Amino acid sequence: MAHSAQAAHWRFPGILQGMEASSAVRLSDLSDEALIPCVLADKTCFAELVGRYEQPLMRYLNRLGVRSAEDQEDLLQEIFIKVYRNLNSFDQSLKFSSWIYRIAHNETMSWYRKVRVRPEGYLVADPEELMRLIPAGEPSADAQFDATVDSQLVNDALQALPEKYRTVLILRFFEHKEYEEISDILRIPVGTVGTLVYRGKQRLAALLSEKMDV
Amino acid sequence: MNTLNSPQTRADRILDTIERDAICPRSRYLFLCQNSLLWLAWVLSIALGAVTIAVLNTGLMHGMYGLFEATHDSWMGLTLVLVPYVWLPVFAFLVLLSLYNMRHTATGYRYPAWQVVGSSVLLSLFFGIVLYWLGLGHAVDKMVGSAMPMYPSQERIEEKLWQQPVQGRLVGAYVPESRQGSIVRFVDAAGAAWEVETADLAPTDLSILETGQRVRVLGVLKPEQFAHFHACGVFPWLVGLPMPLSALNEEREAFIERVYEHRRVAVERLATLEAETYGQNGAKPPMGDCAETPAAKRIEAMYMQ
Repeated sequence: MAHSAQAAHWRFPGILQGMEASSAVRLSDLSDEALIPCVLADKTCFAELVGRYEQPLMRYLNRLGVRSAEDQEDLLQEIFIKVYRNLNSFDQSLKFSSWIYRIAHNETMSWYRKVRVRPEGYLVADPEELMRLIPAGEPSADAQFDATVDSQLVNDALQALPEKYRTVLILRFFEHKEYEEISDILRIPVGTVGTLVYRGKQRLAALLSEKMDV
Repeated sequence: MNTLNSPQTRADRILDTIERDAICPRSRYLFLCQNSLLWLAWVLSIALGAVTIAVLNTGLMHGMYGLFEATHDSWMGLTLVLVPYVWLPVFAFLVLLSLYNMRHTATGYRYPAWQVVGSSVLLSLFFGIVLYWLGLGHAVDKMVGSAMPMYPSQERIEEKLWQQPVQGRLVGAYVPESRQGSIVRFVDAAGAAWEVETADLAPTDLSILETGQRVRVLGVLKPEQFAHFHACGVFPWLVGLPMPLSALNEEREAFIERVYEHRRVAVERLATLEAETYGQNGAKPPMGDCAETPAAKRIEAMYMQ
């Protein structure tokens, strides 16, 4: 049954403020947060949320080192089921994307613990961007970062980083999350995010320098 | 679960799973209860922390500062006795528990650890002082003391410190209408009966003694007479009473004044006698029992030189 097609338009009387009763709403026009009451009233609306987040979450899982397509699929399914089951716990003071990333992150970490494997390397989609960002605040290191740095090198350096730094760097520089969002995803204070990003960048810069010297 | 080759979209597969396994969103109230319980646990840890502070305060405020020269050679010795070995770790544990509880609430992770710990400590301190003034600190201290024989309650610590006749300290109560001349009968904390010589006591000491309430007596044990104690000062038993700093200061001033008086009078008497008898046989007259107590000597060494 193609639930997603059913849910493209949805009639919901008076759930959204300022909306005429029984008006038809295009789900794609609604914000994530506004979609939640629709999903709670009609589960087929969940297809819209899945559609919005499947690619970003797939990419995130990939960056966290889940490489097998089968594992990714299973994990993604578990993540979305968990999101659906816990929809009522969503705190409206958060961004929905932060909340769903938090679930994805926690599920992935649990999955690693369950299957007892180490991440299969980190995928850096845009090493040039990282190269632009790393030397910020590290002027002396600027010269060391040039075009010779390839994504494999960055991947290796990222893999050598302690987990806490690696996660914030991925969220900050590859998922382009703000500090507040990272704070909400990882459930740590914003100040700690800043510290981890700063130290993570320093360590990554040092590791890259070492690898480039070799 | 291999679903990669399925023609359905991922959303459809997920919705099928939801339908097939009859998965429903958990109730809003469940999450509300969970979060409320965590906040309640945080409040409880603060409240228990406050009780701990009230007990700590009881120990510190009744910490024998006023009469410390009577019981200890130095501040260091007193401090070692006063460190609340039991309650400090309990308080530290409760602060950590409050941090844990706060961190697990829906938004508690946003606050840095130092803020959570700092606010927990400050709140516990504030409410702890309020509870102390309401007398809860002493009540809890006493309750734990009666439930656990090994627990060093304030009453037990102070009783142990003052029930030391050989060292010139006695705790107990005067037996009413037992006076014969300057001797009164006195029953100590262990239930033993004493004859207490009150000739050297000041009127203030006598009035405190004759209330019949439990008191602390500073004096000298007379080994040549059975169960005979020469009293030099009497101080009220303050455990369990709210003690503002002003009361502690007053107690201390009264103690120094009364104990030093023995020493001052003795020195004057000695000087007079020495003047009268010097050169006749060279023997110095005794200064008197109360002037020779360790407390009187310590006070003289500390304040009167």
